[in-house]
Amino acid sequence: MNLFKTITIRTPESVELEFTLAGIGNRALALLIDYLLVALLISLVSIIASFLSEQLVALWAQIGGGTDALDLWLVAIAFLVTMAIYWGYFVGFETLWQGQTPGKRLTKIRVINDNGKPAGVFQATLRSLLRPVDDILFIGFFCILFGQQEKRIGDWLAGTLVVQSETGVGEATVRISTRSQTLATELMAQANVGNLLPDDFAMLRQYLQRRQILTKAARQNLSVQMAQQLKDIVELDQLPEEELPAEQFLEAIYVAYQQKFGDRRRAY
Amino acid sequence: MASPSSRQLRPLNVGDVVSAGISLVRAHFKTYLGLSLKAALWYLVPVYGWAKGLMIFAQIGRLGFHEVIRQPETVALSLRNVRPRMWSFLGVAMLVSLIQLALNYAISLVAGILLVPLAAIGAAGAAAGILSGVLIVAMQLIIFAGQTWIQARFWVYDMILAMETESEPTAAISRSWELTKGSATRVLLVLLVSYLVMAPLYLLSFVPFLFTIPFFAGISTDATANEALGIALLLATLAFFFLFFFAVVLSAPFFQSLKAVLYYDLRNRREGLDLQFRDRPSDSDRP
Repeated sequence: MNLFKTITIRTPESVELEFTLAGIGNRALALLIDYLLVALLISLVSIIASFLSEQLVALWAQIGGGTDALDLWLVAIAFLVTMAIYWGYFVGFETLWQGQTPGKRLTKIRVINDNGKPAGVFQATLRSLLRPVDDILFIGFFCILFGQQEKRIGDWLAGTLVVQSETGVGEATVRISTRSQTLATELMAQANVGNLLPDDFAMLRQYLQRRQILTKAARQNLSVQMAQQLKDIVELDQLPEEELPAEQFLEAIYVAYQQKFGDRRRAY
Repeated sequence: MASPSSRQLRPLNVGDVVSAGISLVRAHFKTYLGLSLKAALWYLVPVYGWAKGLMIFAQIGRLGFHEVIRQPETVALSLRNVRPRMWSFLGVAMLVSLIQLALNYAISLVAGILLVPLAAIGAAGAAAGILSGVLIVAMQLIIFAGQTWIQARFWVYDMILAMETESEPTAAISRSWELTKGSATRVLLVLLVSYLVMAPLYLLSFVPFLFTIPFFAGISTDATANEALGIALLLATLAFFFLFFFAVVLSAPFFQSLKAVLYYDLRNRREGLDLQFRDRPSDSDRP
């Protein structure tokens, strides 16, 4: 069974793009973060505004005007400013950050158009205007939960999808020891690094990026196990050195493959 | 780059764990709900029933985990696997509560000693009073964070008991601590989001008490009103227990599925479950 829904979009150029939908958990968390930030922003503005309006009313009274009408005006302005912050926050961020708000950025999701292109001001505005409607009685929540495309009402009208942006765990770059670098050149001569599939290389990179998070025992076992499998794959009869730590061998294979084919090679 | 998503899941973030937990429940709603109802009914029987109930809840988690790794287990098989440790579920649960209690007590004690000078600052004047107030609130928040952090570190022990049946039952406690190392914040956030999602269900069970409010109007004036209030409160309490029971039955599958996904993800991160080379196509398949 698939725990995450995916969607395939066909672009006009007949390129198929597959996206993983954001999921209710990510969207709820993103909304929580965004609402906290909006609330913080509004309370900050209202504190400053209350100081200012007090001064203004005092000044007005000194000049000799009636304060009743002024109070009414101030309330109206406060209401408008609050609404402007609420809508402006979502429209502004989603437009400027290519479909992401701070909450969405933290949860690594983004809004895109139904055709896979980035969402624009128009879509962001529609989504934002309908947000209060979706919040009533958790309508949006249930639409996302039960819909095949996880769309809330705002998404239906604006023609948008919320998808996961690429995520990675662990270090962004793979750290290679200098000994492995020299080892890599030896391996390129001795072993058939080309036997490695792009998938295997991706898996190797995953391991090298995530090894710091692993427990000691798991890191030990996995590196030995992967090194043995790799040794068979690249048809290496004998390791270049005896007593070679498994991780150095893995690093060396990684470098050798990278030097030969670059980071990407077409799958066959 | 082909993604390995077709085989095993990559490490998940907080929202993914919650989403995956929900899809798991939705796919197996009837099975999990039936088990959950059985467990909750067993809970009404003291001691033996508690052990049995805890075991069945853990069984839901085990079923969920096997779904996540795409090696589904039947209900009967999973029961056969967890049944030998039925009493361990109760024993370890009590042990974990004791440890948590002791640690929470220690935290409160240390914090209490620290709070005294903070409160003393407040006597110096109005401005100092505000400062001391802010510091005390901050301190309380730190205490709360510390206590929930400890809860998060122990949270997956029953999954470990249900899954790792080879090891000693008490080892599940230290193993939970080890698995959640470096992930406490993520577990905490999962807890927070899942409580938020389930909160309406639990709040619903308090609704009957709203109906008793009118009866408070005439309590001091006459005896019959007092009697009516007593009956109303009794009925409301009964209704509350009834609704609360159903809230537990409905939410337990969700929490257990969440735990199953979380346990998988923790093992994935710490032990690299998904880090496997793809099965090689045999030579005849190669172009």
